[in-house]
Amino acid sequence: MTTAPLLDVRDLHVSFTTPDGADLHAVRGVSLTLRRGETVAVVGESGSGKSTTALALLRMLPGTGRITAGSVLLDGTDLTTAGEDALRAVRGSRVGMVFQDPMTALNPVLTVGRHLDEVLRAHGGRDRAARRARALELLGLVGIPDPGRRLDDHPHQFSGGQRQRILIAMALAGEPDVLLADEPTTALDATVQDQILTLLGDLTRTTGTALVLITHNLGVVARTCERVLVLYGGTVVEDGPTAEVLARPRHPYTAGLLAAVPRLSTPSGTRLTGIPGSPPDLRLPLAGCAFADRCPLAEDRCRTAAPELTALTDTVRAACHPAAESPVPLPPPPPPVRADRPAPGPVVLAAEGLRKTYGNRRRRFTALDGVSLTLRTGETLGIVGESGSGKSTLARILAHAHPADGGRILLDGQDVTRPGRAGLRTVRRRVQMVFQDPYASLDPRMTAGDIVAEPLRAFGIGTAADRPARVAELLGRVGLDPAAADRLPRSFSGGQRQRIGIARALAPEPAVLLCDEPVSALDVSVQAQITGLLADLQRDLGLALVFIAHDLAVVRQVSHRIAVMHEGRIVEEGDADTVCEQPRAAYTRALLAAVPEPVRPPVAVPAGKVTV
Amino acid sequence: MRGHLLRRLPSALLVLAAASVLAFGILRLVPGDPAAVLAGPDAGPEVQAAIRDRLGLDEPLPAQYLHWIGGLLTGDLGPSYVIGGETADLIADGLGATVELTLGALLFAVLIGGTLGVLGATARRPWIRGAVRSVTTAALAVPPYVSGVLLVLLFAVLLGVLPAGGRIPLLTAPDLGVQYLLLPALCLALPSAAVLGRYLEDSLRRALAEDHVRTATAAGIAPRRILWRHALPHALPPVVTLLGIQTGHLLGGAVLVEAIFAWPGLGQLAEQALVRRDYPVVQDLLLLLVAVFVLVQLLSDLVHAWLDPRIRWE
Repeated sequence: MTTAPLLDVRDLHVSFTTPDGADLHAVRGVSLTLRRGETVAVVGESGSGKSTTALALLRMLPGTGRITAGSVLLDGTDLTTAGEDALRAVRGSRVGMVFQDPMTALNPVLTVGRHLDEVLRAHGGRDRAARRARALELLGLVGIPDPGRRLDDHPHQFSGGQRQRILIAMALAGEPDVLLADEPTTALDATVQDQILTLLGDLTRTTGTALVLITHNLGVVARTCERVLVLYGGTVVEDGPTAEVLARPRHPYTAGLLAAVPRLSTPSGTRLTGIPGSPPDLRLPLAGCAFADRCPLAEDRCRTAAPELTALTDTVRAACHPAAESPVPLPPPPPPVRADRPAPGPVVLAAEGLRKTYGNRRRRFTALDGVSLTLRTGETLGIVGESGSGKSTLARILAHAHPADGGRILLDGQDVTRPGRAGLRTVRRRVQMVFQDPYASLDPRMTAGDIVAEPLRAFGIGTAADRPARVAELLGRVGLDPAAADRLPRSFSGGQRQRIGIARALAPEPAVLLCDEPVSALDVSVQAQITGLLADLQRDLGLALVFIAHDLAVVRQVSHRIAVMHEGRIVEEGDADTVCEQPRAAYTRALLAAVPEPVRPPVAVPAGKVTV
Repeated sequence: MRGHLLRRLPSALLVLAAASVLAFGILRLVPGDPAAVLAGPDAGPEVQAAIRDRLGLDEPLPAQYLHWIGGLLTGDLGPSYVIGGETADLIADGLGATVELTLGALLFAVLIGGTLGVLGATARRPWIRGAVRSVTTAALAVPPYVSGVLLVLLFAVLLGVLPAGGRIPLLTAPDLGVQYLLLPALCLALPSAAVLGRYLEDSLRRALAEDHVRTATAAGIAPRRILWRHALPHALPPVVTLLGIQTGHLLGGAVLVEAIFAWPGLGQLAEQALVRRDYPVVQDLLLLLVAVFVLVQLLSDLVHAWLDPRIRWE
């Protein structure tokens, strides 16, 4: 097609100024074109510049962010130089935007009707009654049941998925040509994510709106978009039709990212594949290819000359020196290998009929409703469930952060449901937790060494003189340089911080490690490093692990057994492979069906029984 | 909303009861004796005893307390001991002046603080933000007895446009009254305006960084509307709480400012009554202050509920 593109972004550069005055070059020459009605995914990990690019398109960069070079042409008009009034006419009316977190993206003090009314009025709707009729129509369009009754409700009276629908209705209110969706389903449960993606697909098809979907999830890309752009270190590294790129990646980063996505079909006990190393430091100038330090194909020239985005076939372009000279796509990744795991030992932790209720007399919420489980040494028990299913409550009760309302907890065969002061100390030493958010769960004012030493001091383990040696040993054990002990958390990457969190949990030599979503805040390419570390620690120390996550594919790979939680109960429990392949509970089947998979997975060996 | 208020009522009454005991008790603990003041330095002990007997000061303390509270509840505040006249009349005379001064200062504090806060949070140019910061720092640092003198010097002495002191009630002569009110109200308002400005700036900056403000911007809503409809309602609740506390400060601070500007308000009365150990007047004034404070807190609760529908549904 030779028609001019609807949106034409050329060589866009965006910089931020960090608090210490350094320049952070977040977007480094992104180019992208979008035709009318096209659906394009922009995929990348944290720091790839994907969200910054989206915000820069409408000149909505936060804080010190600014466009330093390049142009954004919408139907030939350059938005980087347009005046504020012209921009406001574009926002919401020509380009609609949907953001990640529906829980905070709506104004809690305004009704849903007012939200829609405001947008419609900002774009020329003069007649109040007509605006109300249009608002009703929009709510119906995005699938809010009984819109007439819900129009005067406030955001907090809607569920997360419904709020995201309302935000989509707002973005579509001005009948835009382009819908920019920045991680629209990341904060939602898998089954709700599925519904929202279906809605976005249907709406773009029926209204002819072009869609730019920004995401880190390759499964979401495969499900929704015709074309995909892969971003790394602020540049586009690959651009092509989704099916082609996901099936036959040309850029080593795309290939690595695809291999790193946990597949539901990969059997239990298989190590996740990752990309070694961590993303580039955007404060540093970039001489060559941003991916060179982590790339298996890197050559000398990759470190000195930045590769251009060049056409490799009629439809696929990639920015890579070796790929540009190779006529064939990269070979598929080696099939995942099952690691040998020693058989689990005796039962170390058991729970019987745990119950927990929150709230007061007027409003009660049963978080746990008779949960029983057993855990052996050297065993990993995976716990999956959607938000509100009670899985985090279960972890807190097992860790004695909250008391249980009913039931029993047995540690090494002894009843520790209501331990005394001394008993509690023992329980806390034997049962440790690893938390979800490696950014919020470390005190930013303490050094890595102090963080790891804190439990040693708290439990009075060792003397002050020999603690530094123990801290160094622990840091080494989790794969960190012991010399890093005097650095503050902010100088570590997300994956490294999670390693510090694990070292802290290991300090008092626990028998049980409760991991509450330990990898869900991490990038896909880094997840494997943490799950691999946990598996190594389990093998070497005989740890019993409780691995709580919402991602069934990860849970299957790391766990021996899986328990599926729903509304405070365990609805299904069993061998990890069996639960994923022959689910008995209807809820488990729904969870499995909602997991988006990027492409047909490579066949795993030697597990011959995989038949998904 | 009404249930909300009813739930707060018991604790408000409790605070008032406790305050009355404290006001009564503290005065009895402070050295000094109204009988001695009334009798004068040359009177003998029998004169003082006669005075004590007349005023009921020889009754046991609980009886005196009940006597006072009983009077309050029936609307009879009784005579003042030392100053002379009915306590109710003394307070009524000063109350109008002080309420006028406090409300004027409150208006100034809200106007100046609001402007500074909004400017500080939304100005794009760094020098404007720096200027706002300097102004609030100065307003906070300068005590009323300095700012008051400076204001008088500038407006009354050098420019000669406003009177240096005294009061003409606003209701009797609005045009003249305003001239007399401006300087004392401004002087009283400055520290409160600075605190309010700082709080609002901080709170507003956080509100402007919220996700739903980004949603509104992306939807093409005008910046002015975003500020008034989306950001300010979120920035206000902590500021309203502070405003409630500041109202108490303004009432207390009025004592000093009334002295500087010869403003015949409750502050002057309180000072006289305290120095001369006029128990009933001081007690009633303290209790009045607490009552106003409790009322303002109730009001700020109501405003909170009005600003945030999530509270209404609790």
